[in-house]
Amino acid sequence: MFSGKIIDGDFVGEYVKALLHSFSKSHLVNLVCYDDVEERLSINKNLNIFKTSCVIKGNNLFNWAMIMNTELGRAGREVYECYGFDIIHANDWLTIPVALSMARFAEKPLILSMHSTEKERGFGIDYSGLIHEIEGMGLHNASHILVDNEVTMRHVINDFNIEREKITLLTPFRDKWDERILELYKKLAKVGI
Amino acid sequence: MKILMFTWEFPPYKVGGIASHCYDLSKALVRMGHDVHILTYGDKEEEDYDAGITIHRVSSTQSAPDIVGWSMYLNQRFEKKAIELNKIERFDVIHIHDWMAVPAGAGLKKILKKPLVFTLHSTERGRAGINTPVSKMINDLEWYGTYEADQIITVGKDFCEEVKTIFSVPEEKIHYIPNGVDIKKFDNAKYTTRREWYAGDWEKMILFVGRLTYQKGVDYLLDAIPKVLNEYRDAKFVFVGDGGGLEHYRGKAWSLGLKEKTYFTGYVPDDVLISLYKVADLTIAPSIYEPFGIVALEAAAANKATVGSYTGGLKETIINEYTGLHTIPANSNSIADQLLRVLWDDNWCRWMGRNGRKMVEKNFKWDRIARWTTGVYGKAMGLWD
Repeated sequence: MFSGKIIDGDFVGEYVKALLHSFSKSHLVNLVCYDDVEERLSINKNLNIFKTSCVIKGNNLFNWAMIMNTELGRAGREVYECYGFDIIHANDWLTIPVALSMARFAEKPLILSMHSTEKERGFGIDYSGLIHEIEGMGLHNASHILVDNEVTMRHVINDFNIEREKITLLTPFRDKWDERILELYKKLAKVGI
Repeated sequence: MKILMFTWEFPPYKVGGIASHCYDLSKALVRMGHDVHILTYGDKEEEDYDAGITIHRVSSTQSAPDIVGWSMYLNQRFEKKAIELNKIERFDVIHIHDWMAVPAGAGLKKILKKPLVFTLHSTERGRAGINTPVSKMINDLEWYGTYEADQIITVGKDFCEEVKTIFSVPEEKIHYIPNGVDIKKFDNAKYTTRREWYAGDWEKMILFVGRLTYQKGVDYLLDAIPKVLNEYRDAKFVFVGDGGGLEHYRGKAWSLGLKEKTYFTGYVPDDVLISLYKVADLTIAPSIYEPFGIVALEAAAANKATVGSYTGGLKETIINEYTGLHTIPANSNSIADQLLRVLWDDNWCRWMGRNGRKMVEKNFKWDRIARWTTGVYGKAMGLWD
């Protein structure tokens, strides 16, 4: 799984943490995420965390994120060599570039959780157009898309022309959402995990 | 060897000198028996073949607010395409050119675990200075490229020292390999322009080739022209190139009363440029910052002497009083004095032009440069230390 920095209390942070907690009860899960400090953590026999820092500050969030993705790629390759994986799960535009590259390299399915789109967030910055295009790149190339609510789903369908069948709407933290994601993993990876 | 080269510009898309460099180097590598794939920008995704080179073009975006964002997006496209290509081609080495290819090069090095070679043609510090957030980011990307690359190539000897110093590059991973000149291109070129369109029969035609920017020393050359004309009236200065400064410098020339004695062509295609080198009497390269100085070599390939600044690569591409004359950088009096020395002595000027041609034939042929480059590839691949 790829994500930005895991921050307690932050929605995406809690989403990722909940899935890690749930999946690692029965499956090997590797999280590759950004952090200020480079660190490799083995939480238990089923959960490894690869915290990756970025050597460049960047002149804006977009440019920083693109370089951060190259750094995440190093950790992604480490996971591939040390543990292998059957499926890749990315969260939002921030980790789409590395997730797409790893999916192509390893020839594994990519699930993309779109928690919101840049258009929903209001297109408030001058590089919003680039974020929108990266979102499009991810949405069109992902094997399957998860959305948290109706609004995001409508944006994904209407703004990016994504077919409805490729999207699953799951409200996080409710109705065994984690188990349903695991079922989706099984279906896409076509392995008996 | 299977080589994957990233360059944001490749013929027919040409902005600076990187396109020609990559094209000529690739052709020479193909002649040596290597398999060269170029990944570059294009209006649409397509594959092309030229002189044994396989060219893969990918498009970029219209949404970028600045050049860095544009190249970041292009690099994402490069990276995805390269991963696909590698499944079939199994590249031995990745070679990137300048900061605009650094993100994809660094990303692929990590994901594919391929050796990375990085050629620096110039630095942002030298081109424009580090004075905006965008130029700071470009400088950071240049550093990142030198940090991630297994081996680095610089195109000038002085420039090599500059890169070592500003990016703290260890001695063992940096090399100086000059640019080359495709001599056949000059010998086989047909005249596609006529001298009389630019200068009178009675005038000496002095050619400036390059982007019209402060870095290229255009201001100092314009200040030198009235001093030259005071003593040698029959001289015409032809400026070839654009770089965004065409209107500004044409306006400046006219305001100095030089309308009749200057001619600004703007961008010209290669065949016209080669014709202009051939019909000119000499070339002027007044650069303040010049990592390599290809102009002096191209002029030499056309049997022409160059009067150029004693800076960067021009220190090597001009042999003073043998293939041309050196001037003090950023000094219009020095430019005027040296131009006058050549203008008053036709035979000396022609003799220096012929010497320049011999120098290019001996030291700056692409086949030789390609051999050096494969040596660096081998080092990056760990074939030898």
